[in-house]
Amino acid sequence: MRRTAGTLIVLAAVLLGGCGAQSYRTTERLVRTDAQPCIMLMPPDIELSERTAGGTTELNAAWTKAAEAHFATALREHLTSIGADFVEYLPPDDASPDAQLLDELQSLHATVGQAILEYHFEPALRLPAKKGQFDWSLGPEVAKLAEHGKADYALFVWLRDSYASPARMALQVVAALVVGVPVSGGVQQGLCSLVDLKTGQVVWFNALLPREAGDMRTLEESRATTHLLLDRMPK
Amino acid sequence: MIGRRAFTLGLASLLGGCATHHQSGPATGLPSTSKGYRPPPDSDEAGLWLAVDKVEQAQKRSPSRIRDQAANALVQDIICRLAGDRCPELRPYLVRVPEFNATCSPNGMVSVWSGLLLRCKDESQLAGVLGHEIAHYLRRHSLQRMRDKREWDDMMAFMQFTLQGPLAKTMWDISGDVRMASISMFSRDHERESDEMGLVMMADAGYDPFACAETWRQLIDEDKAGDVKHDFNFFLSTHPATKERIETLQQLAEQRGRPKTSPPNRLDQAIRHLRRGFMEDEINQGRFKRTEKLLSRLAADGNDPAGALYYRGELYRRRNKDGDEASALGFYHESCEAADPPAEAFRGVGLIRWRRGEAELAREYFRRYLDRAPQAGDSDMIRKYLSGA
Repeated sequence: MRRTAGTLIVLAAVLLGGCGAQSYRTTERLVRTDAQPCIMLMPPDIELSERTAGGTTELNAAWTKAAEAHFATALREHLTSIGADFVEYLPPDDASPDAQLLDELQSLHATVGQAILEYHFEPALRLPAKKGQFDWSLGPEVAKLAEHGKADYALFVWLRDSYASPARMALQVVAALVVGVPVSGGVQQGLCSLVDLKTGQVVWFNALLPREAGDMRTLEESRATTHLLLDRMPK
Repeated sequence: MIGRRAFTLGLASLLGGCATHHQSGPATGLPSTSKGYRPPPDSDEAGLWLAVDKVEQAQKRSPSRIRDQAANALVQDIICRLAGDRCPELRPYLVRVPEFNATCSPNGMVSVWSGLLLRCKDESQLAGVLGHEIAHYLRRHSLQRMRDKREWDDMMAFMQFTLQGPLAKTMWDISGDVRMASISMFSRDHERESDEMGLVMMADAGYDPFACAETWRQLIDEDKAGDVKHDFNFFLSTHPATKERIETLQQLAEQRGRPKTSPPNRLDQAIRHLRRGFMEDEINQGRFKRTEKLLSRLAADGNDPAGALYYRGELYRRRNKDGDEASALGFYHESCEAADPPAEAFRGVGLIRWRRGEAELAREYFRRYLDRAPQAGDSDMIRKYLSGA
């Protein structure tokens, strides 16, 4: 209820964006071997914000910090529960070129993820050159990450979560009363990719579509979001 | 400003007490922070800090960061002289960008662009700009502007649903214009406040306050040269007109007077070895008129005439219009005669003389080039000229 004001709006949101809980997945590129693969956990890119009446999002430091901690806990619980092998990414010194590489790959992951959503999962927008294949990559430079943790795959996560400011909640009420128009509240969305550390190829991808639900500010809700993001990850 | 705010708050409370940050006032309304200040974790200010923390993280790792020890130490020292006990909160980053700019973010990250370092004639000029930026930090101008814009945008969002009747469209349009003008005016007020505070800080630290206005005169000169156009719009400019700033800074400096003892001036020593790289960045910008104006000033200001003359020659050689080769040759020659010339100035003379068929003179300059740079990447090719091939 903190996200939106009034059941009216929640109802409208469910009707309009009812596909919120649906998640996409693919394992098309994954080649299994007998050996148990190891996953390197990249520092997740998480931001929690307040959404103002005017529509901009303003980063909230306390929420973001809490969400990072909750996600770290939930992710490790999840991976342990499915019996996956994982290691932490050991960030290099700031002066090292690899430190900048990480920044670039984090941004690239978000961009490639949005491109996958748009050009792989929208049939009308499918790129002819892909010939129907799931063929997306963060580039061969990913191989350098393998020097910072011994693993076969890297797990990249991008999460954005916002909540209506008090002013936006008031706006929702006003808009509903005066013109009967629903005004959206906060939105949660996420992307995650399993990337082959030898080639940079995205071997598995999942997107949490924008939805007016979930709450990364609490551990319990963070577990639910993490589950949505990762439960179809190949075991 | 105050009238508009009263309107916003009035409207907001009418519609359910929605404005969450009432404490911002006119440009000088938000109190300055005190030593070691950190925003409350759940505040909008903490969010703003986190956003710039991320920028700082990238800045730390950026390949365009200048890690040179002497230059960084000088900027850090100037900041400490200006900011006093607030110095530990401020972290300078020198960045290789050929534009006149410096910024100080709400979290204390100070970015100093190489184009600024190159353009400063002396330490006082650099201190003036840094003082201005530190004032933005101390007065929390970014936060004030963020809140100001949010209040406007929130109010506009409510108007969108509540304006009714035949005049709704007109009122909406007018409000939009007033919003833009007001946000810009607020920003200009901050710039004025920072100009004044910055000058006081640098003069208190023993620097020459007349340097502040001088910096702007230099910039106007470059702008007037032509290839970059800055139109001042009375309503929409985020910074006051440069002419107004010069007049105000000049008046303030006259009130303060010159410093009693000569101000510290360690700038040349700290960036001498970097300056030629900065000049090269400037000529790579492809803004002939502006760069010509800048380099002619640098050649005259005495910090590195030989370097400035060489790059002025390069600027003409690269443009290569009618008469440019002759100009380039002239500047290369002047550079060769000045103190501590770049080896490449001799090569520049040699190549043009060679093309003109003046082989003997060309060889003399090639020899002088190789004397200075025997390991140069093109030394084999130059030796070919000497062997008479």
